Amino acid sequence: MNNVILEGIAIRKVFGGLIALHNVDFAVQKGSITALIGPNGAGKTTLINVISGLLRPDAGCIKLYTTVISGLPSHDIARHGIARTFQTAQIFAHMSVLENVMVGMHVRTRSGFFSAALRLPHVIREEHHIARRAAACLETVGLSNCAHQLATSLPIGSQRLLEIARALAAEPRILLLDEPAAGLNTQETRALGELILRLKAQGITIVLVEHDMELVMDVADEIIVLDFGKKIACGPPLSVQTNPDVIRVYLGQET
Amino acid sequence: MDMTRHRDLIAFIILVAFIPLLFKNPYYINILVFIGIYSIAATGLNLLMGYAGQISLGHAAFYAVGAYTSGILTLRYQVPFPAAAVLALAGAALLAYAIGMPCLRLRGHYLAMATLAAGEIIYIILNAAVPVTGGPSGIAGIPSLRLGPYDLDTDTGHYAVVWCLFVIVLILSRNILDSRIGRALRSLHSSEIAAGSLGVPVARIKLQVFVLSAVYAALAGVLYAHTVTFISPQTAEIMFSIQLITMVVIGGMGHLWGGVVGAAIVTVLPELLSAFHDYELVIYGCILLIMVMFLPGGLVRWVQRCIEVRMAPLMRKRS
Amino acid sequence: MSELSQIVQFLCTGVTIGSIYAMVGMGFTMIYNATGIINFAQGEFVMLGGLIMVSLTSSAHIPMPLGFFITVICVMLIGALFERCAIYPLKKPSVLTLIIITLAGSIIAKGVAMLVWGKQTYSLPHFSGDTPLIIAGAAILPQTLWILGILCCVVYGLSLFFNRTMLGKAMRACAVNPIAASLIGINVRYMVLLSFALSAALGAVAGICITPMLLMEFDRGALLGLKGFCAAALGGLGHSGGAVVAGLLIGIFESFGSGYLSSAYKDAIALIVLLAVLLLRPSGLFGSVEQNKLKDF
Repeated sequence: MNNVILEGIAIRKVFGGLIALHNVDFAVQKGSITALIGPNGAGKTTLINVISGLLRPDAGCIKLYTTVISGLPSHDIARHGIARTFQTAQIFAHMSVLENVMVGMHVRTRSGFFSAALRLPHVIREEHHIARRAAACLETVGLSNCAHQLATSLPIGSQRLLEIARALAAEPRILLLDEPAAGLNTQETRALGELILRLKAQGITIVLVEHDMELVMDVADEIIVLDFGKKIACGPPLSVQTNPDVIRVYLGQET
Repeated sequence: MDMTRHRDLIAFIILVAFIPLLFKNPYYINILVFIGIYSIAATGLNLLMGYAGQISLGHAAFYAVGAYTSGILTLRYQVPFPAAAVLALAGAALLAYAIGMPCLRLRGHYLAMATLAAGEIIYIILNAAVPVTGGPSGIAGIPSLRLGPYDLDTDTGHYAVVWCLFVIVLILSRNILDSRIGRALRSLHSSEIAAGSLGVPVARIKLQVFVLSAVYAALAGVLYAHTVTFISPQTAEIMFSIQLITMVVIGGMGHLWGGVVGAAIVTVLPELLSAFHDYELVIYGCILLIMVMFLPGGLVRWVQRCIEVRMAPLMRKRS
Repeated sequence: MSELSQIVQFLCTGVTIGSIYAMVGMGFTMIYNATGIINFAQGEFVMLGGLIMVSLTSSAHIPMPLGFFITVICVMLIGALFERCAIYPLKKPSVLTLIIITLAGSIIAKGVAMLVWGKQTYSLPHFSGDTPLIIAGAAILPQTLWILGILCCVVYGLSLFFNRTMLGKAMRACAVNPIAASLIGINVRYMVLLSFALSAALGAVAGICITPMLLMEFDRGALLGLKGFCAAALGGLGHSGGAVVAGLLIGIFESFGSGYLSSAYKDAIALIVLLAVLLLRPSGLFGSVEQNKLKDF
């Protein structure tokens, strides 16, 4: 069963003297949930940033099916169907919750500058479609009741959900979640886990960076473990859990 | 067209139509004409600064380029006014494109300095290229407003043209803001990274709004040239760029009505305080400082909030 | 005048005005390092320095050296006052807010200067006479030597301050990492205040030095400030030594440009250099490209 949607080959990223990613290979199966774990500073967020085009890899390449996407600017990568959330929620402050999600529709809509200025009939039709679809995305994450609030007025947990809704509006094939559970309480984390599984059921491939091991073990199909920029293990949760290298990294034993 | 979107605008149009009936004195009408001209430029700058969060300290240059292009074309080459105006706007758009293309890659302080330097270079050229621009003494005798057979060179004529154009500018701006493009440019303000990750082409959107706001400034410049019939390099001074910024900050950054309210205050204030003419700079500076420090949302939002707070008990009683 | 003497002449004029840009540029650098702010009011410190010196020496007949000292102290206090009133009270200001605040500060300074000194142009006697020395056929004013000397003293003094004193080292620590600096007990807010005061003092020195040669009026600040920023940017923002070299370079460019090309466009030269630097190499001549990416403009 080889159904790889996203593949990284020998990815390398160096910051000054620090090797943040050391020839990392990975493969993500279509429709799966892949978790990326590792101690602080292992290079997880760097890898997410490289995949989403925020950083350019110094070597190696990333393929979406057979298309090479590494090196493209982030908005082009988004157009290819890769959406993401951020470690510290980056919501659009001066906009309402609904409008935040509507920005996510940017790649799925096409009215241009001039037709928007003149508000031609097809723009109006598209606006209705955007509003409906954005409302549906809010519904999915359970934020419908605060659609017209200012986004900054949401508590941190809801801001994270808003980011997910915004990314969903882009109708992504792959969703990258960077520590979505950070700052959430147990109850919220459980709801998040259910949401992630529901998204998987809709056919979205998910790459998850997370510290909360309970969440990771509950939802992940495949786990990749990074340590100091190197991939030290990968596989289904049970095999990773018992991998001696992983145990050493997490428990800090000296060899 | 859905009228509910434009309820405030319809009220505004009625207001604009009736105001000239209240003021018979041409002096007041004249001030209103200037408010209209500055409102157009300030609304454009507001799109760039208030909504997209990008600063330009060189907007006076686009205003001047609009004024000079249209002035020179009509005066020296007998181009009819509407055609000259369109050419002036196109010229300003091209210039903004050329300046914006490289500059908008810069952020914050660097963008401010780059636009300041670009504006200053245009100011120097206007002063130094005497054969074309008349140098420091400027150009006099520019033909006044005329649309085909209609001579609009009366105070009410100026008033009608300027405010009709402002209403058009306002409608176009609102349409853009309420669209996919508008949301994209507003998203840049808080996080360019997040906007990019959602597929918003950050550089292109910035360039588009920069050019649009330069075109608005040029339109204001064109109207200025043909109502005053005289232009000088003073129109391109840094101080005027700062005045435009002051208008936006006073009225309300990121509020559609911020531009016109700010323009009205900045235009009327010196007339009211003409006795304090020497204090003008200090007063401007203090207003700018106080607004940013204590009322960063601008006057329009402040008034809105005051009304909401007052109305809240009444609304509760009714329900 | 021979070709050589003309070149020497241009070089001297360039170095003189370049030293001023260098001092203003160092002022920008100092505040930028401590706070990440570009102070748009920097040029006004130069203008205030010049005009206060004029009032003290020409009107109040205070001897030059004492006047120099008092002027620098006055402008330092103005700089510190500006920081306390306008920058200190802000909580987490955005770059846009900071730009507008310092712009407002510059307008207020200009407005007050206009009220106090009016719109006339003021001059100041040269520090030690204006009989030119003839070197290689070029006439060099003693003031040029004064300016160069003062620039050297300032650079030397600042390098001593930043490398040898506890206070200077603390300021550098804040520039590198304000949070870490505050964790080891450095009062970061105080360092910000100090950076404003010091950079105001630098501006004042520049103003006092240049007034005898270029004269001074209330609205000279903006352009001097902008050219000082050209120096800071060309040198690599945040790099003091770079600002000095770049300031001298820009002064020399400008002087040769106005001599050989066109004096009407003289003021545009520095600005074109600035635009070129910002667009082609935002890290400047001496800044590191990599570091530059991490900076928050």
